[in-house]
Amino acid sequence: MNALSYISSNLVVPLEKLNRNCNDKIQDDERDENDGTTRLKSVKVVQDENSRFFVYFWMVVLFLPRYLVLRPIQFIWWLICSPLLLVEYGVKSRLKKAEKKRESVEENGPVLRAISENDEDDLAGGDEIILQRDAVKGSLSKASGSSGRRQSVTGRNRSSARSECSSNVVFGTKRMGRFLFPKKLIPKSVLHAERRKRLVVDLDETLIHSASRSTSHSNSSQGHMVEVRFAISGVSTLYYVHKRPHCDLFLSKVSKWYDLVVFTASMKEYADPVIDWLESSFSGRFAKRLYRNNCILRDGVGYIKDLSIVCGPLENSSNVGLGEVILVDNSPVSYAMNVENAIQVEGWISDPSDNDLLTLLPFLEALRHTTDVRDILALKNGEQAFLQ
Amino acid sequence: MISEITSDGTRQRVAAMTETEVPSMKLETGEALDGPRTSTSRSSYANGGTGMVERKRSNSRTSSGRNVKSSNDISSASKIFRNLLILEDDLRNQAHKQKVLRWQFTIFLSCLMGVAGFAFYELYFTGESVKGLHRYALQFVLLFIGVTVALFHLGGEYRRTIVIPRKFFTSTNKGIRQFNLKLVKVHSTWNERFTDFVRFTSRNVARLNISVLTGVCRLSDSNALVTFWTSVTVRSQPRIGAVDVKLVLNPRSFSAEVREGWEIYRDEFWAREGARRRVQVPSKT
Repeated sequence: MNALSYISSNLVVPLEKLNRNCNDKIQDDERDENDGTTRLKSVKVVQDENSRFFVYFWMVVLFLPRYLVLRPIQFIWWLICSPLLLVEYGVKSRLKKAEKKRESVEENGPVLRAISENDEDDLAGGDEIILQRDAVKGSLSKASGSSGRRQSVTGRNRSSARSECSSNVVFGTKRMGRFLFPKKLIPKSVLHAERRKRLVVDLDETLIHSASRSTSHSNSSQGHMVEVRFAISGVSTLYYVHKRPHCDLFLSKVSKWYDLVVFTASMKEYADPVIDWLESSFSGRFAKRLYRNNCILRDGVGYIKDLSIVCGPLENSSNVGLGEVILVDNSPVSYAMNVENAIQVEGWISDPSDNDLLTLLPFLEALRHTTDVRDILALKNGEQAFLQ
Repeated sequence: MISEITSDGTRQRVAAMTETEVPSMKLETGEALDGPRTSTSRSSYANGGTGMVERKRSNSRTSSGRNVKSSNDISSASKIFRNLLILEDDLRNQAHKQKVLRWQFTIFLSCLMGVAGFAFYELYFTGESVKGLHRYALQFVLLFIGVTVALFHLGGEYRRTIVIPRKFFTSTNKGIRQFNLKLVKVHSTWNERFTDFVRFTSRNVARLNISVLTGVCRLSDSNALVTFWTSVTVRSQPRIGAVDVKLVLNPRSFSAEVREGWEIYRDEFWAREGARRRVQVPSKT
């Protein structure tokens, strides 16, 4: 920009000078005429014509670049810069306000000062920083009586003041312990592992609903008919099976993220044809099927699903820990042994506008990269999760 | 067909049983934090070997209960917050994808409707009657767009690309409500948006320049111009952290201390991550 203005000023000013010189020379010529020196006069006229020609020539040459390039560029540059100036002004005024506020707080009494921290601390991922507890209930910052040093918890503004000694400054509280920060958000072991987490889904009232009579269902479609023949009694019964809304979408999505396992408290004779029917409607398949005989029966409670069975090796993957197993079920009794692994859904019978499976999809997609699903799923217990 | 829910008394018994069983199961697996793991092992080396790590972990697991944690232990809060960070980051990416999807298809549909409207107006509302090939072309365009829009709707694409993305926050929040979490939008101020725009522009300009300089002009990476533009890309990195979407803990279920702790943890992690990103690239160049 400076270069452009330099060129324009240097080129334009000499032109004006030239012009002025020409005028002077013309006046001189007039004086010469009066003197009657005709020979000199003719020579000078030729020179004047030449210089005038150059003046006009340069004016024409520079006219277009000056008014078509220089001036517009200057204008555009000013337009671009003006919001920046405004931003700068806004930031400055905000800083001033913040300083004033801080000053007024300091005058009033107890202060929350910025956490002191070395720059190196900021870069070392594994380092620990603890913030001691405050005497005031519900605050993380502590006003330590002996030293009178206070630390604040303003994460972003922290960098503004890093003057204090940082030996005792650590993030965390007595109750929650020290905060430890990972170097990478998602560890490589999770991100690049071929092994996937396992999603255990219940069948009845979670993915489907079946009834022995078709008339009891409010859906217009009659549903899929499944004939179940019990080997022991020899009696065969006809069931009308209805899929929960968005069931196919749910299964096709989650089968890309997880190894699917179906764990039902129903009999094998009934469940197998239903699972076959479900498998035919989405691209993936269930890696394992578990039935009533895999459940633990407690008297007066019901069938409880012990998820440690699911941790065993599957056809294409080895053992997994309980931290990598998620159960989606509608009955709290079913997951009584593994409350921290469960996602509860509303039991579904006939509501055609139900979208519980659809609402679970974003959560399940996000959950597949966690290091331990129980850390998240235990949050259903509220603050108890932090006390374990 | 399914097992029935029983009386409250029996359920409590089951819950009590679960409380005793779950921690012992946690011992077997439980992916530890990457960073914390290093720091723990560092401290354990100081104490004389890796065996200490195992001992400390198992001690903390089995004897933790409601006691105060020892200073070397990985607090459950750190683990929970770390996993919350992962969850939040993934949800943020999803929200971004859904937003892009919605915008793309909204623009596509509005372009189609614009062309259709123009054709309709030309055919039936202009004073002069359109004749000949022009008329056929306009009719074809109108029909073509009509069929496309109908198929778009019937094929479920309208729902997938516009309806579901629009309800993303509502629907996700319905799914995570049982875990006392909520996904909220963070509105940025106009100067933050402007800064983002400037950063975005300069980043892309710098990338373009680097690709031209290295690809077309065959300059080496150590060339002064290339180094300059690389430093521009480093300086104009996008803002990271909870800039657009964030997870908040439900105030009914969590005390102010926990909620504040979560905010601190997130801000601190992203501050470190930002510093790491800013430092890494210049050291390479």
